[in-house]
Amino acid sequence: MKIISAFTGNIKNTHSPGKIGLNNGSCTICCSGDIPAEESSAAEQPASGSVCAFCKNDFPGITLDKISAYPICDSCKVNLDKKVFPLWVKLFFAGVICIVIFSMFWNWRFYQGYMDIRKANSAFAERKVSDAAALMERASANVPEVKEIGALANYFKAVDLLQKDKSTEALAVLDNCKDLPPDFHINQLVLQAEMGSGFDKKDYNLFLTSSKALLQLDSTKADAWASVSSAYACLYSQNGTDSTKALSIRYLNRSKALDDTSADAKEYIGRILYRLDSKQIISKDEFDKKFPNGYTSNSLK
Amino acid sequence: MIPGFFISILTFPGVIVHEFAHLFFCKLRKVAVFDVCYFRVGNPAGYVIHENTNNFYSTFLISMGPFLVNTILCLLICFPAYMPIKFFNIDHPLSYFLIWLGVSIGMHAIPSNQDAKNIYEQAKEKVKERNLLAILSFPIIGLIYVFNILRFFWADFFYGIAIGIGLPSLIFK
Repeated sequence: MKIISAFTGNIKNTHSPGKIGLNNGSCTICCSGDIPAEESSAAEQPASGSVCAFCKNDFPGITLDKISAYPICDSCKVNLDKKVFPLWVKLFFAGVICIVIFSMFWNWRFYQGYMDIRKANSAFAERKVSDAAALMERASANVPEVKEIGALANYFKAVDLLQKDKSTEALAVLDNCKDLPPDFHINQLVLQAEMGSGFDKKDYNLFLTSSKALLQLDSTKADAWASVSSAYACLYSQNGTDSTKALSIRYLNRSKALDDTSADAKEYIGRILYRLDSKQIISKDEFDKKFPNGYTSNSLK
Repeated sequence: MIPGFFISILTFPGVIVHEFAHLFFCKLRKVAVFDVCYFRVGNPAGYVIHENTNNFYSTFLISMGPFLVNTILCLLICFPAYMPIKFFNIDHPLSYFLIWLGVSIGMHAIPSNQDAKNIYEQAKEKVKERNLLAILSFPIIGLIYVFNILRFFWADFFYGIAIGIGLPSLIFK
């Protein structure tokens, strides 16, 4: 007795042995004829060990190989193998396997890029900006077709450079981030970079203009007010005009009103006061070395 | 309404893999195979004729083979194509070819009513012996019949999409 494992769900055995019914929607088609008669009868009953169950030829004195319980001669075995697993099916599967392996290698860079983007975002959230920038850069190299990844890599790099007080370099990198959405606040970063760049190049007018522009964007932050004060203090150190000193103090007081207790605020206020008192502009590192416990101004108390 | 044979032609790789899965499990369980039709324009689009076996596990595996093989292959083939299309919005003919190939294969994962009937014939005997697989196979048989009814509403297509695109979406949220 045979069994059919069929693909489309509508095939069913009828009650007649060896007869198979096909039900296609409303009509029922009998397709017993579709099963070749020779196979139909061949394997009905297992034959003795020397009689091929398929061609019925007797091979006296030879014990034939068996498929399950059915003895089969070499020639029928070859024919059956060709029939149940023909060359075109082998080629089909070989082709599918080749395509799958090829596409896995071909598309691997996308998975690498995806993993790097995820890691970069996690690193950025953990304030490991250098790592985030390097990972996003690698993701961008893996998927150069997507311009946003390149822009993100530049964004992370710019933030990293700003944190390292390399404002002029950050400014150049930020130029490639213009396409990022507004919630990345690229304008603010550009202004911050301009402020730093102006300070580094002793272009204190640029420092003042940028810090005022930044203050206009957000006047609720103490450091925004302190930045304008700092710029005026730099100008005062440069030209010694009392009016600039007065403006610096005015902005400084506004900053203090918002925050004069945090460590960052205290440090920044100390630097500005030292600048106003001494008319000297020194870097943060120099200031930290000179006043490890912070600076207290006597003249402006 | 799109005729079934037309869908079979469009998704012929799935038919081939479905029949191959039956064949594979026949070979694995040493069940003699007498004839295989991997694809034809007609109903059924393919079939495997093999000896009857009294071993319920063999019958179960042979009948359910396409579910395992087609589902796994669908996922494996769609997987490489998923990321460039869905995450990076990069259109490439190879990616769309893979999605077509994978979904075509996934669409033919669900065993036919004939496969369900083959399991049922033995399960109803084995269940008297309190065979656990036989007991479990009844709801599976029911689901197969329900699914095959739902083919009318493109359930096979949605299954292929769910495996080929839905699963990678869940993995790569």
